[in-house]
Amino acid sequence: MPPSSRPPVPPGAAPPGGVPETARPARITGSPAALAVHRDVNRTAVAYPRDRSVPELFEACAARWPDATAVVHGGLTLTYRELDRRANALARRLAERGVKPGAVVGVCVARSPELIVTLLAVLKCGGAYLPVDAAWPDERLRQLLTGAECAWMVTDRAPELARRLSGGCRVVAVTGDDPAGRDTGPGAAVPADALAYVNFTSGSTGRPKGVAIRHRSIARLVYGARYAPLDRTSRLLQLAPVTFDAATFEIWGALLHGGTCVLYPHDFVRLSRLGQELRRHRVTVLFLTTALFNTVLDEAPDALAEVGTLLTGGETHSVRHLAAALDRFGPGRLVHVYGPTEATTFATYHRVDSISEDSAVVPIGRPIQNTRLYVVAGGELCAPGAVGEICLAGDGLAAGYLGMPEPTAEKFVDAVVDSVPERLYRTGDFGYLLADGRLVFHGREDDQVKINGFRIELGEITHQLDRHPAVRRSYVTVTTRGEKALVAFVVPDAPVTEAELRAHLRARLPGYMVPHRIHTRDRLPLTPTGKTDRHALLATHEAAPRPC
Amino acid sequence: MTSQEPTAPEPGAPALTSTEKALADIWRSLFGIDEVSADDNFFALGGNSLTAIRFLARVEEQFAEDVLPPETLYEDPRLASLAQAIDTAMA
Repeated sequence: MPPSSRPPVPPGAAPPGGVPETARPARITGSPAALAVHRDVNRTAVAYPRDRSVPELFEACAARWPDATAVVHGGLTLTYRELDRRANALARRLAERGVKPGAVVGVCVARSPELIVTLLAVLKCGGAYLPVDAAWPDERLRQLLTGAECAWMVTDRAPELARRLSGGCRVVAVTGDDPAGRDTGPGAAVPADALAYVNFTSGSTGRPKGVAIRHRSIARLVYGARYAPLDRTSRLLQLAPVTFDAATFEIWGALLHGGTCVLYPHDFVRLSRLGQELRRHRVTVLFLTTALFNTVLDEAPDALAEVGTLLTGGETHSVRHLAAALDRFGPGRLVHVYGPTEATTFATYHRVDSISEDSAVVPIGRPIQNTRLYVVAGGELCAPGAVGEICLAGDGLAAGYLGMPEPTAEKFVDAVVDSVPERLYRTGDFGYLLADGRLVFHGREDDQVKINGFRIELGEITHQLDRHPAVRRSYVTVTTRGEKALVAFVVPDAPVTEAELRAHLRARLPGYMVPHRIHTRDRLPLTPTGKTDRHALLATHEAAPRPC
Repeated sequence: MTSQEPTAPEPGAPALTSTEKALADIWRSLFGIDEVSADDNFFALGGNSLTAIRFLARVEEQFAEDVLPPETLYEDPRLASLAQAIDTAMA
């Protein structure tokens, strides 16, 4: 499938140099085949409590199942009643300290019952939580908090943060409440379209973007879930850093259903401990980022043996690892998920119940409940097989980037799609629909590079490298040190030389698409959020001796 | 595999204990390098949190569960120190 020409959507919504204030919603239509497939995949509406806030929904669970286990942390448990009472006490204290509806409240608390108490308490005040990592450098921390107009910080390391934030925020220690808690919270009215939390994503311009998510978007993620069984018997492992939006699923997927949120009790992931925790607390649903999933599959797949539903996603999958998992765990348990932070954790899902021998790709599937997707190129919906930008719509869409009207207007656009008014999030990801409506990921906008005038899709090169029998997985990027050049990193399964790989590619790609260097590595390094770390790889490339 | 008896030294390199040799083998495979010495540092060689997960899984497989807490790796990531921690835990 040839890459499409750049498909900006919708036409006229974001002309270079700025967004007109009264931009008229673009009309997006398409061929009969395009309209038919989009109408089919977008029949996702199911009833859910879209007008109730997260604390209201949680309190309903607590009233109905007060003695059910809400949180497990090692040998410690909190029932729904206990969690609710403790959150009420902290919420009252925060309200007394001046936290009002609409406030953004920083949260720097280690993974613990206190973390969950804090998140719930902030929401009960009508505030939005902004999780931060104590390991972030001071300058970044201050920049993010200032940009989000965050005036409070709830933390389990109060003296340290008071010093590091030097008066920029009022620091509130998370401990010190009446352990018995309180029957009621501060009684703030919290509408479902109020902001619930802010997660930062890295910005292409260097300034992280605070993605602001509403209460309603959390409810949309966890109710009527198509991608995993979520109910009061569900037990979800909370493993992701809370600065990462997988945590939204792990926490509220359990706590808005009467289920149990099992907090991984260690600072570092160790596969033997991961297996123990999963077995000991009978975890039913687990999300692992693509890279961690691949690692577990390689090193200790038995750790996952008893988990009912395994979700994985976050970056381009490895067919080989998905096939190995399917082989080992059987059909009905593995789900490939996709979704940017801007659409609240998950946007599409694909049950991996079969993988054909020659599968080059595994789809990212169909939209989850109450979510719509459009594949758009040149201002039109794409028919099956045609590549376009993946645009998302529905109640999962973020309110926007906090304090950044221009990037918000560029990425979140109003359009009339197939005669229906929609607010679209332009993901910058490309994909195409299969005839049966499943979506296949086809690289990112910024994976398209130009070298010596040739437009190159990096995904096409990795695809060809991955087809070599000795290649487990590969990563291709562009080095700009000296002359701009393609450089590839390959994790081999069997001994293979650079010359062999180059010959393999030369046999399959035009010369300008064969990388300048092909390094072999035993693993691909990761960023803290679990994506392949391009900068770390390039640093190893630049330190490597020249080829003989 | 876990004896602390030094084995025959390679020319020009200090002798590695058998535990050190076992760890060096894991590092060679993880990092794709030929030479590993007792003074080498896991993170200086390019280790990160995910490599650490792989390394610890392989250590537990070869020695015993809980023989090397992740904290030890992060506190003193030199090969010799890690081998010593394992020997102490196995003693």
